Amino acid sequence: MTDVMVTDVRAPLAWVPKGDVPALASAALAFLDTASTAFGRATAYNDRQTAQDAELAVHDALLSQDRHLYALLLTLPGVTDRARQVGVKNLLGVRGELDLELERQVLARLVAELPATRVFKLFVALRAGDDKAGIHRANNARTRKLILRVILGSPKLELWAVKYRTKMAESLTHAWGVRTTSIVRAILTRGSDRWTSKEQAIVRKAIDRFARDVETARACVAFALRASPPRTRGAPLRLLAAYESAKTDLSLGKRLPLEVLEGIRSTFHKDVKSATLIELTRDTMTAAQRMSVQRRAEVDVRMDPTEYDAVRLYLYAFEMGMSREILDALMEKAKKAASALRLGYARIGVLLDASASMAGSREQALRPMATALAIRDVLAHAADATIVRCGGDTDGVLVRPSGATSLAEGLVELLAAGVDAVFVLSDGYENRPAGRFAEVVAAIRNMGLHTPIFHLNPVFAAEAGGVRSLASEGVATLPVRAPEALGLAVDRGLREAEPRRGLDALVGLARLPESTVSHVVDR
Amino acid sequence: MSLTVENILRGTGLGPMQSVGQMQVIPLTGDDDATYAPPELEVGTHGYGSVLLRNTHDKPTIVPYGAGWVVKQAAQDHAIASSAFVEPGAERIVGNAMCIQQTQPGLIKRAKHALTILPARLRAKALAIRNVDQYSKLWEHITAFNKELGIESAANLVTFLTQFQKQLDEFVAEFELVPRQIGAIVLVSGEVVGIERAPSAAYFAATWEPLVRVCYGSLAVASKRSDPPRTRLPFLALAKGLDALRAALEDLRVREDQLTREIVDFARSLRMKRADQADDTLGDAQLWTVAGSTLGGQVVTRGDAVSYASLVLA
Repeated sequence: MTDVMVTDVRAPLAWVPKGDVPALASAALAFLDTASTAFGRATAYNDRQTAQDAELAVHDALLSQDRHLYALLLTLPGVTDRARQVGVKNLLGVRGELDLELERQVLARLVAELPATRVFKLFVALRAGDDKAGIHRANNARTRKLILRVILGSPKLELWAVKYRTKMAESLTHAWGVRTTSIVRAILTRGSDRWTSKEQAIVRKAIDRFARDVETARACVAFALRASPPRTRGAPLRLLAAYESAKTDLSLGKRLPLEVLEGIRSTFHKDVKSATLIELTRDTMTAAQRMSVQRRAEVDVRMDPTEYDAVRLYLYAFEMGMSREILDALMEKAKKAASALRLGYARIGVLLDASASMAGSREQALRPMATALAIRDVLAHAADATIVRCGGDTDGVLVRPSGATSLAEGLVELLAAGVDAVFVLSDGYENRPAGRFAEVVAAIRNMGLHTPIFHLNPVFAAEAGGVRSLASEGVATLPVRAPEALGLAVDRGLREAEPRRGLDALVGLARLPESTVSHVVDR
Repeated sequence: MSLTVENILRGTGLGPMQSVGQMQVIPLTGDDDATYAPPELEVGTHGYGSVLLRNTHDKPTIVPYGAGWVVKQAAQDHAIASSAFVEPGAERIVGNAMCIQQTQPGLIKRAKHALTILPARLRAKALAIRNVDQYSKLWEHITAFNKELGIESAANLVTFLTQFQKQLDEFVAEFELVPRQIGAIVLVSGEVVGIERAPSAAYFAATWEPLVRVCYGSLAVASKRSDPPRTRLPFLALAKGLDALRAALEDLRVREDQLTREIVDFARSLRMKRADQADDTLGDAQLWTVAGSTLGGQVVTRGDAVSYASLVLA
């Protein structure tokens, strides 16, 4: 279901810092910490509102200091979907001096990389505002055009029409306004051969000029707006036809997504069991749905572990148990990610914090631990690695968090093993006692031992306005929410000491689309 | 009749001391007593000073004294002064509850609201006036408590919670539960300020966040000291090599364990007087108020055994 059509271009982007570079660097680093770890949700330590307020403040700080840099950094690999969503909202909702063409490209890139569910959630939120997600209403020409370009220009328009029908209608209504939407709807209920020239002009302006395929776009808009279009001579669109047919014969809807067919079943075929539905949609299920069905064990639907990212596989294994198949997939993924990672160290030490707080919040149970384990695997394949665990219970690969945090002894053990660099995977909360890790780092540096120590932190901490450090000196603290973002984190750590060079390097990593076409990832 | 902390700690083991800033926690571990469910209740107010508690579990529960509910509704936040038993599936109205938000009118709609536990000093004040039937009975103490912390406001606990939210949140994050943890000895600035014993690990886990965040967190916030407490040993290694560094760390751990045992031994010897009459009973379980020269609070006993205890700085 992934359809990334945007070509990476390492654009020779001209960026000149405005004002105080160290202050800007500080805001940019805080932003990267937040943008790569914050999800706008509760953590083990902060409730949703606190976490979200801190997250949005970090976005606002960089946006107000340097809109250009803010926009470019949003496109970096490793930035979360959530941060991109907030970024789009900010760029659309706050006026600035940024080059409009560049901003349009940035917006296209950001939206292109968001999953469709987030895109529609964002569009709907832009219409009415969404306090829970921290998104305010935005209604301007750029917002309206972006919505229409993304929806009507999508190669997945037909799928979206059946899958996100209501949200699509809301988004289009936001873009056109209630009155125009009503007019468009009325026009689409009649065949195009019966439209007046004025009506043709309205449809051209509202739909056609943004459409990838005019007939498909018109049909999908009619479907989303429930306009009951007349029968046309050409073949009807397959999914729209399947949707209508399934109302009388459920089996005719088997090409529809599971959740769409479930909606039809619950309204028109209440006597049909959900297991029958799973049988029917076995071939069209998304990877996430197959994983969910496996959990319920209602119907034997084959789940291919290679289709899932490592963090999700660990979360699944925590719930369902580790199998040989999942373990193989995890190791394969780790090997692949490691091959793209240039650590520059032959022997590394990995200190894994598995204390109780790594269990995370109820909202995202075990995610910090799953992320740490996935990163541990990549590091273990990227160099000759010695791994030391602090706290937790393990049955081999899986480690369940428990107990207090005491990382200092583990650090000394790794250094005594003669490693070239140490990677500490921890949420940054230490209590046996707090500050002991920093004391030991200071003692090590006093001894003249300068082995690099990187603290990779997968948890956003509202009170720290980013990620929490274990030591203020002698350790580079790097946010990393997933193994895929490890490269960015390590690069950031290596350059942390040189702000200007670091910012230039980050801008160099920013990616813009080759064309202005917006294709959205549907996953 | 008197009671020692030794009686309360009987049957528990010690976990390694956790230490962050002025606050330190020694975990108490032990087996679960499955008699009581965690105090996860539906709560509402019937009128000012009247709190309705509904236990949705199939076991009885003990609601801690100083339990409060700070809600986002436009309603007056309330707390109860004394602990209370609530039978399984039953409702109980506590008629001598207290308002903790003077300036806010309105009643709390019945729902599962998050539990808070009053700051230790207010908890002790509340316990002393537990039998006073006046919903405004804690206001003057809340005002004084706020004033001590530099907050000029009416008797509103929310002002304190909002003003110190960042620090209070950090306490939750920083102290971690250990396996089989059913209690804790809490120190602030090197002094024992609280002893908690719950019937089970599940019960303790349900009350730990409000205890560490507000009840004991408030004492750490109020502490003006910035230097580490004497019970947090510094690492002053001038080691020449990693082996020496490792040995220094090991030595420090030994001294920390010794210090922990000394603190607990001191706490064990603390003696408290028990009130003449039980505050509440449920079957063979009795709720007693106890007070000593440094600590006071409430305990639940069944025969000689202590099922629950919560003692704070008197």
